[in-house]
Amino acid sequence: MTQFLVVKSIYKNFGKLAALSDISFSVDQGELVGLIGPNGAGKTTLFNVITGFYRATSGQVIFKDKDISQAYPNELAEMGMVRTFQIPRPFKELTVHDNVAVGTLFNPERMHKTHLSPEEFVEKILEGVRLFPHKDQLAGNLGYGNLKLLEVGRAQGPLPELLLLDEPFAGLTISEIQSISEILRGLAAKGLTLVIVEHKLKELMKLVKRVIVLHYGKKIADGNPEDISRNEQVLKAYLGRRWSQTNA
Amino acid sequence: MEILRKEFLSMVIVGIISVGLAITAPASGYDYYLIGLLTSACLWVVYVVSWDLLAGYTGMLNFGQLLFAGVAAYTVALLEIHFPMARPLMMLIGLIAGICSSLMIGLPSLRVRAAYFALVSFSVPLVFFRITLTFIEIFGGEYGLSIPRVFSRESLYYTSIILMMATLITMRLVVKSRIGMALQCIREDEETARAVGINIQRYKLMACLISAFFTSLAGICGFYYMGHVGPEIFGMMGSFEVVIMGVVGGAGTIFGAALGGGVLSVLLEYMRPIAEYRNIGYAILLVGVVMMASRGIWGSLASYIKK
Repeated sequence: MTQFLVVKSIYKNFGKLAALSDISFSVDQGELVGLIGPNGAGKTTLFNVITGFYRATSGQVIFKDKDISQAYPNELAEMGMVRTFQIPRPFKELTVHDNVAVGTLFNPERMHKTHLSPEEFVEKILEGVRLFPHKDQLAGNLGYGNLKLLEVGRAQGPLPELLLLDEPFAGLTISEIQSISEILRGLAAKGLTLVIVEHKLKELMKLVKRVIVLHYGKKIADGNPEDISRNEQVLKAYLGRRWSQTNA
Repeated sequence: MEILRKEFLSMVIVGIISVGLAITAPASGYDYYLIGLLTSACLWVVYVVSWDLLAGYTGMLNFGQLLFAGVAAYTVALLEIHFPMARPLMMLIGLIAGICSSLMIGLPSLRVRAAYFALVSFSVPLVFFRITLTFIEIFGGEYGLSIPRVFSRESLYYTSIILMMATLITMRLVVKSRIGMALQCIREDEETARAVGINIQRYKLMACLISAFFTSLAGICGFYYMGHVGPEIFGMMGSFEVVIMGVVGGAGTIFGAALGGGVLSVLLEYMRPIAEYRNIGYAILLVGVVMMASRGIWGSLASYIKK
């Protein structure tokens, strides 16, 4: 496979507003990438374009050598690309177990890749996200922290190769962030490719190997966390011109 | 196969109730009033259970369930009057027409959600209501279409019991299968359902077609029983009653809907002497159930037993 995830000059306009302009980057299999930017930079829009929830105004998205610009989210799940939502969107009236099992149920052809029975597979995921003790609870009764974990768990149901996480740390306490970071690190260690949109840079920078920065719908930087945190354009975007001049 | 094992008990109960109903008629000495009452109760159960698949499981709050029954019944009536042919063939055409009519609310449901879907489902039957009143030569206007009796009351009575039993068992198997899981996920959150790989268009249409299949059969059965179909089947009252029965019985369980349909249709019949006042009684019942037991009678029973 030569092209795992390639984003080729994506434009997305909402009316006259250009939410994304000329975004291009590629992600190799097994990478752990962060996608950051100030509020309104277009991170979530880009996410929605990649995962098929929005159609790009122009440009191309390629996943596993296939053009997926016109694909639907459910088709992408079948291909092995799954996303999570920033604000948890569980199936509230289903149990925690079933929330995860749904993904395995509707992607049976992907399940051949595990050597586990669907039941064992679901249990392993639940243990991985530390929700096994809650498995028979209705998802609607979980607390916020557990719902964030369930987002990650549910997204593993279809056995993805590429997992896109929309602000997995949002609204969590420091210890919760650390435990979710640990879970994500574990997934990455198993070879899963992760793209993470995040606001909490301090935690994210510790987790990822590479960072892509968006600002006003444009890509302004792409590199390893150390370089990014010293990049003048990034500092300007986050902290304003004066700060970056005096401290650069 | 595992579903069959889990659902075995409930199916036995459905079977016992059906057999019980079937021996009621001979036991009563073929009392036509009783037969009529129970036939209509069975058909209401079919309507409400079919509604439950859409509203209770898929989250498509359908305010026009009887549309399917009406289209099927009018189709059969027109064939009976103008193009008589072998009866099974006429019924089959009626059934197909009824199922096709579900696309009129199924296809819009792919684009509109929740309250907007309810509005669509509410207005489509009203269009048919107008059409039947406008083209009097074809649809008989307010009088509707009538045919002489072709099947005995008894045979239609047994047919409606079998239809009810078949509907209950099929629906129960459907909702416990992969399809049912997909429908519930769509009800809970369409975006999440898509994100985990569920083709929501396909499953929504599937739910519409299954629901319309049984509703159309019940519509045809009801038409032959009454020997008549009129525009009121496209009116607001009938389809609203389906919703009320479903909500009072308890949506999203199939059996709750069956309970609501069975009990309320009989109750409604016994409230007939108080004429228009029955709507008041009905409204009070609805408000009472919604306030005291928001998950319907079945939901309250189930949670009471679990305690």
